[in-house]
Amino acid sequence: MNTVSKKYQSVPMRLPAPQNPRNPRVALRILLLGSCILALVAAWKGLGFLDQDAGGALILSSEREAQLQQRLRRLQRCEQYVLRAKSNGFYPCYACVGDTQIFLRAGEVWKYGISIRGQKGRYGNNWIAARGLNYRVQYRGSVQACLRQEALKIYHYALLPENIRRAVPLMRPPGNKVDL
Amino acid sequence: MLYTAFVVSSIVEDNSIGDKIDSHNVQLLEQVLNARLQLAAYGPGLQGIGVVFLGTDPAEDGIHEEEWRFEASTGELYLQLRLPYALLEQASEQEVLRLMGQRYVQGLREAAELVPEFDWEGLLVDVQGVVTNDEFFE
Repeated sequence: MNTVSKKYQSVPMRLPAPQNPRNPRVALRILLLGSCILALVAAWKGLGFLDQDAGGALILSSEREAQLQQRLRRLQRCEQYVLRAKSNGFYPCYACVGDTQIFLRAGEVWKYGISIRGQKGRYGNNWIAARGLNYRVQYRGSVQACLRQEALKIYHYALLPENIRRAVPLMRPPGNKVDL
Repeated sequence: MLYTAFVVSSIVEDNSIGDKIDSHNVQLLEQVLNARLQLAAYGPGLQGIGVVFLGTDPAEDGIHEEEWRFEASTGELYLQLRLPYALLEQASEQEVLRLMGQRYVQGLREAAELVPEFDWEGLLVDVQGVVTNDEFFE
């Protein structure tokens, strides 16, 4: 017998303790408990946008889900508009080279744009009145379709008689800072 | 900031109804109100009134709504008032002007509670006098 076998001779060999197969119910309970804790933490932290379904899985809260559906509906309800000068006078010009204002005759285009429901809250319509402009809806449809109409109008503005007759025609309407 | 005491504008569709509202009537109403009335004469609480008429088809227009808003920092009142669309189609341009005048007076009456310490009675009587005056429609 060598030294190693002598050393371990007196120690009985132990088999690893048999492990009971895990109960799937335990795993489910742990998952449910975790979701509950997460939901509680979310509520405690003011994260009311989360909720749980019947199975305990995390989902968007009903309020958040309703907001999403409303947002999706709004994206289908878009309009493309034109803002025209209400009377002869000077108006801000973002498309003029070297000038910040431009003289427009009543009815001439100042800007093309698009609007969806909810924008009013952010920008308000006060500026329409304050700047002496009238608003005309030219097209209604999805955001995608409105963007297309807006692009067509902005690019073709350069060809309008009211623009061509200027000493220096504009590339886009005076109120449009960029093409889109 | 409003460029004059009484500002009138519109949101309409690009059709014949829109033409009846914003080609001439919006400008006429604004000019007449500014020529005949001095807003300061009714008290210091109100520096300007901006009214935007909504002449869009309410069945189609899911975006623009009526609005009554007073901005205390500038002393300006902003109203967005819907015109009776069903009547606009058959109405002449002059009749549309009359409808705009009626809605204007009604809109001011609805907004009166937003601006205290102002002679609303006096203003309403005088605006009514302007927009119902036959000379206004000639």
